[in-house]
Amino acid sequence: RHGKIRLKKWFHFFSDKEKASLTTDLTTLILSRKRAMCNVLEHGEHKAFKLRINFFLNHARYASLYFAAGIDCEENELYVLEVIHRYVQLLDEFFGNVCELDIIYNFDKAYYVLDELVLAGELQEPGKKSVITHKRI
Amino acid sequence: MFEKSLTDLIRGIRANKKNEQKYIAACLQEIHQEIKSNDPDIKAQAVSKLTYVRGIPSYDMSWASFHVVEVMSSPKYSQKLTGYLAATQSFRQDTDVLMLTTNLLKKDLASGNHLEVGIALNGLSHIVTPDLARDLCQDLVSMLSHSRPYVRKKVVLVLYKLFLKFPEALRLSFPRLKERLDDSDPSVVCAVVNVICELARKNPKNYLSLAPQLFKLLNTSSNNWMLIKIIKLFGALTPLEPRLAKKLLPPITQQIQTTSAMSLLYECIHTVIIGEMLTSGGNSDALAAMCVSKLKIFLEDPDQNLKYVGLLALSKILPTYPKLVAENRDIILKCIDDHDISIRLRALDLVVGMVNKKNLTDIVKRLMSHLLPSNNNNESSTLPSTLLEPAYRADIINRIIFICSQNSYSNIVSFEWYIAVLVDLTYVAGVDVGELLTTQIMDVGVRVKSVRQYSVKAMQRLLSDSSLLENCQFPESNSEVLYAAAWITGEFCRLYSYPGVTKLPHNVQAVYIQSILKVYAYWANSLTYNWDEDSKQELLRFTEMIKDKISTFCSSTDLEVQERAYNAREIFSIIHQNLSTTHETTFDVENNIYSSTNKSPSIISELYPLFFSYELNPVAPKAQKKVPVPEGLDLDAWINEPLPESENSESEEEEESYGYGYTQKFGGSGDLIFSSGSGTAIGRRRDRKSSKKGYNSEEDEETKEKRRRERNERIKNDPFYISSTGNDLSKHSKSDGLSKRVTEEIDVDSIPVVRLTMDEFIFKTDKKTSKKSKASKKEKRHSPPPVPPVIYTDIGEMPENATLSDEEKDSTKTGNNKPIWNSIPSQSSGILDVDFSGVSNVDLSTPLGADEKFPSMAVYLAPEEVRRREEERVRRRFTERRIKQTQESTSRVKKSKSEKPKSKALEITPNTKNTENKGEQSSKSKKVSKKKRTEETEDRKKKGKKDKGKKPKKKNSISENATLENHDNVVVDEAASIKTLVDSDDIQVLYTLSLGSFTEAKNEPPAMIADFTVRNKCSHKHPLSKLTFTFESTSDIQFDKGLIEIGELQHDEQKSVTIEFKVLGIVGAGLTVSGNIAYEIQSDEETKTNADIPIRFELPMAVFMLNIPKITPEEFKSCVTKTADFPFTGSTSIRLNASINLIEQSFQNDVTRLISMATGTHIVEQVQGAITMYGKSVQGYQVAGLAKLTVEKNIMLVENEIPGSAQNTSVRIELKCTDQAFVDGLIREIDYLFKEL
Repeated sequence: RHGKIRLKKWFHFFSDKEKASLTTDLTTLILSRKRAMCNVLEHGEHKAFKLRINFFLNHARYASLYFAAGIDCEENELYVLEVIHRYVQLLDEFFGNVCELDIIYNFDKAYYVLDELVLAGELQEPGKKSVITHKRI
Repeated sequence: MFEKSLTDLIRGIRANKKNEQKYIAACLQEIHQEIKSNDPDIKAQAVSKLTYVRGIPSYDMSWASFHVVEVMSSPKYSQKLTGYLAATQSFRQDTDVLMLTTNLLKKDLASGNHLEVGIALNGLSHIVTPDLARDLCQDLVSMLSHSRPYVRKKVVLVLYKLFLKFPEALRLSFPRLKERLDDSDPSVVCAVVNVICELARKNPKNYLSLAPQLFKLLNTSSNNWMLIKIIKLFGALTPLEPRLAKKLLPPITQQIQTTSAMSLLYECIHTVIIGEMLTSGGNSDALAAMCVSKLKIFLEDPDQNLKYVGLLALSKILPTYPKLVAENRDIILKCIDDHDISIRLRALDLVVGMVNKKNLTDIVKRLMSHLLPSNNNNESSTLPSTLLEPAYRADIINRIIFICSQNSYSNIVSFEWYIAVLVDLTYVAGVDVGELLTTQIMDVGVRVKSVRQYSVKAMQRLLSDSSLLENCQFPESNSEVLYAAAWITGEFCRLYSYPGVTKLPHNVQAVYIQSILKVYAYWANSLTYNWDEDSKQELLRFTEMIKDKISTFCSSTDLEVQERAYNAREIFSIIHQNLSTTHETTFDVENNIYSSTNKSPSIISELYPLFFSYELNPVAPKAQKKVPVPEGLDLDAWINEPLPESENSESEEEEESYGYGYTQKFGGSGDLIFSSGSGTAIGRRRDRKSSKKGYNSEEDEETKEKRRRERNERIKNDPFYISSTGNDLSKHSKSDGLSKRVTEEIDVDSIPVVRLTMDEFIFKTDKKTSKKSKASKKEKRHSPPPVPPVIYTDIGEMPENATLSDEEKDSTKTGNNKPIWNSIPSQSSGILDVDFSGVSNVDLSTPLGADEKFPSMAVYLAPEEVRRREEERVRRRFTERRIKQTQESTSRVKKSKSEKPKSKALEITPNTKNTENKGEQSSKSKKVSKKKRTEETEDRKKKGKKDKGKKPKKKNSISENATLENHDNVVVDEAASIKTLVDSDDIQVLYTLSLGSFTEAKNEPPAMIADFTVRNKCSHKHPLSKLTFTFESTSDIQFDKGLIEIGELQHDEQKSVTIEFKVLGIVGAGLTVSGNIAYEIQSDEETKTNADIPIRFELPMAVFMLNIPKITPEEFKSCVTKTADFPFTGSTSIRLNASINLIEQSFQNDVTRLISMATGTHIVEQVQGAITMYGKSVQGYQVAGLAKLTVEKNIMLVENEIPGSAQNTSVRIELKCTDQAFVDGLIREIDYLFKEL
């Protein structure tokens, strides 16, 4: 029942197979985390490809939703956590107290908000207001 | 009208949870229909629904790609948005419709609505392919100066994606990108910093020049998001520029002290650590202490995330400041028991690095407790399942063994404890680590003498433990440890029975058998000391028993086990036989010789030394190197005397120092190094005395002079030496070092070629490593003192006579490179950074060359560009028409002229204007100049340069172009040029090649005509007779008639012959025609001399080119855009040596003509610094070429620029062709041509 993916966006080019196995692996890993644990998860050896995708997974939990971002090990974990946090804030502001249903029914809008915040895998707009004003139109 | 909306769909899917699959399938059916609808709204809705369905795994939407593109191109903003979203979610790199999106993207990027531009940019960032990147990079770069910051920041970020796909773009656009660092909008600056940060991580060298700008931003900005990135960026730069670190320390220290943002604080500390600022800065200790104290705040924070990153940062500081980390030991050790596996693993990393003699036992105990099933039920329930995972357990065990065994077990105080730990691990592991444990047990057992007793006991316990035997089929049981157990007991033996072994793995069995033999031998031998009838009986009984048991292994399926079992059984049966026979004989002779009964049979005592005559000890890692050369061994001595040299040398010594010496220098220097110290020196036959003098200058000048003279005399006749007379030398001196060396001017004796003797060699190494007294050195040299065979358990066994001199050095070395446990391997192999190789190879340090332009301008143009060109063309046509009206007649003349090909291009110079043309010349040049100017302005706009200062120069070049325009309709026919085939004392043969009569039929192989002109130039004025040409048909070239008889040729008579042949093979580089010319010279009545000269000539590619009418630049453009016609490309570049002012000239005049000559193409268009060429071959191959002049300034001189100096000028030639071999051949010929020049 759990572990449905509502939104996902890839900033790197993976094959469909890679994407599928990554998502299933990460879903189980993330769901096994307890509330008090830290938000960084390391996902090392990837069984399906024998490739070493060594990235940290940053996830933050908001209500019943998990937000996860895969990053490489040079990235600042706290920075990414803040980006995730910012995204949730934006969703909150955009939908007005966001809940899971908002994201399910307006998945496209959730993507647009994300697109305004993050482009090409980089944070593009540090200011909160400008993202919302651009998306309100 | 009755279609489901997106909301309906989602609601429907959620309502039909039970048969979701079915419902979705039905919906997909509808979508299939709707998506083909002509109503854009319905279509967009369908795409939108499809995008949602795709979010559920296992639904593919690649079939709808085309429809997605349709929706993307919708004029409505909302539909466009839907389309782009679908594209970003579903398109892959290999999606074929991506090709269709190029123009769509171009259009959207040029849109007036910035939101549309935004979605196009966002879409591009996801779907960008190398092709798209190439085609769009110019548009994007021009958009960097877009009026809206909203667009600018997006462009900057999208450019990063572009660089990954099309690395060349980085070089081209970097100057523009750099400008954006000073953008008025902070988010644009932030975006630039983000992009540069990413780029700098791949190749920091390129971005060092940005340091001042970034430093300013660091000091002025208060945007934490950006500060983090800037600091990270500096972290990548500082390792390259240590001075930067010093400059950065104050602002970063300030940030560390003042900031309240944890992420920024963490980034600062992280950068201080990884940017190597701690090692380069002055008060680095204080800084490090501050970092660690700040990190302590992280560790003590209840927020697990901070704890995690704190540990991560500590593990990075550990290699340089282990002490500071150790201060936090208690917190770290607490973290080992944290219930969060991420934190645990990070803490473990630290612990591994913190281990020392004192805390080892404690830490290992803690780690072991992780492996043991916990007794406390409450605790185990909070433990996540991951802690029980085999991977985690294996990791823990690996770490335990790593920390214990690092630095040759230097941290272990009690090895008995360690063996106990290993044995415990065997039982608690629960994962397959048998191999690791086995090697550890054996290693310790062998290395540490004192622990052997204990380890044998422990192994005995393992061997007699039935649980290991019972579970041996499970890999987790680690029954492989028995391998070590059996081996250890065998080697240091005390034990002899192994029941139930047969189930064990084969390799373990094999060791068992071997060990049985060893144990048996030991036991039997011990019996001999106290030999009597009882022990004999016992021995007999046991031998029989073991023999029986071994027999079961004789039928083992494993070869190794089988063989060993047979061996052992044979040995046992021999002993048994021997025992039983001696048994009888002792009975017989008992009466006679009483004492013999007390003597054991010799076979038993002989078995023992087989295994135990030497104790097994570890071998030191350097042992092999330390093996000294034995006293009697002379590595320089010939095993077989070499053959006597053909030329008798004047003296032995002479031979030694020159002839032999030289060859020896290359081939035999190895011998010299290894020559032993006992006296044999450099040369093989030289006596000790001369070797001592060697090449020393003490040798008196006279003998030197004499030797030199003798030598010169000798080498004069030696064909292998180049004679060293006068000017000849200067030619060779640069290229040929050897020839220089043998010249008489050079004092050969002074060249320090080989001077090493073993004595010196040892001396040197001693000096480097240890400062021992000279006396001991001398002693060592002559008779190395016997090193007492003390065996250190941690050094290992050394060969006898080995010197331990450089042991110290090596040990300090390993001390520095102390292995640090690193569970985070370098991410080089991660799939996250596969595609960075291109970008990181881009070099930004060299300034842009004139030829470096954004590609594909001819193919795709930005919309504004198209409009501008259109206007330009209309204007041009207008002016052209006007000129036509006024000077109709002249243009007609010109037309006829252009159709008339000229034969010899090389003769044409700007001065060969016909007088009748003069009148038209001026008008034409005017016209051309106008055309040129328009083109040039276009060009200029393209480059985005508005350089008005160049105007006067431009005019100049226009007139130049105008004059050149007159010549470039000349098809250069290189085939017409005459070449020399043979030029000997008697005969001269010249030849020309031309295309034979050809038919348009393409199947027919091209025919060639070769015209030969033969001239008799016999110096004695004798006539030549029976002159014949013979040619060989090969698989490539076929002669109809390969023989031409010319007959007789009087002196100075000249005859011409023609031969025709067909080229069957692939027309490419290296097509050669070969044959020979035979003739007789009748010098007088009787004597006739026969001559036979082989001939050989290559077919140049240009011969295959047709004389076609010149095409216009427009035709050329349209022709080249049909890429299908030009699937193959080739390129080369030619370096020109001339000052810059002359180069332009020579490029315009000579170089281009040479290129066009070599390729047989004609020049289509010529602009400043570039020409385009076109030609067609007889096979129908088309050749299109572009030659560009590149002037690269030397980077070092940029600041104090001296015009016209230190410049690399080259011409880059790119050819496109229908045929691969053909274009290769052309390129090769161009290279050859310019090499000759």
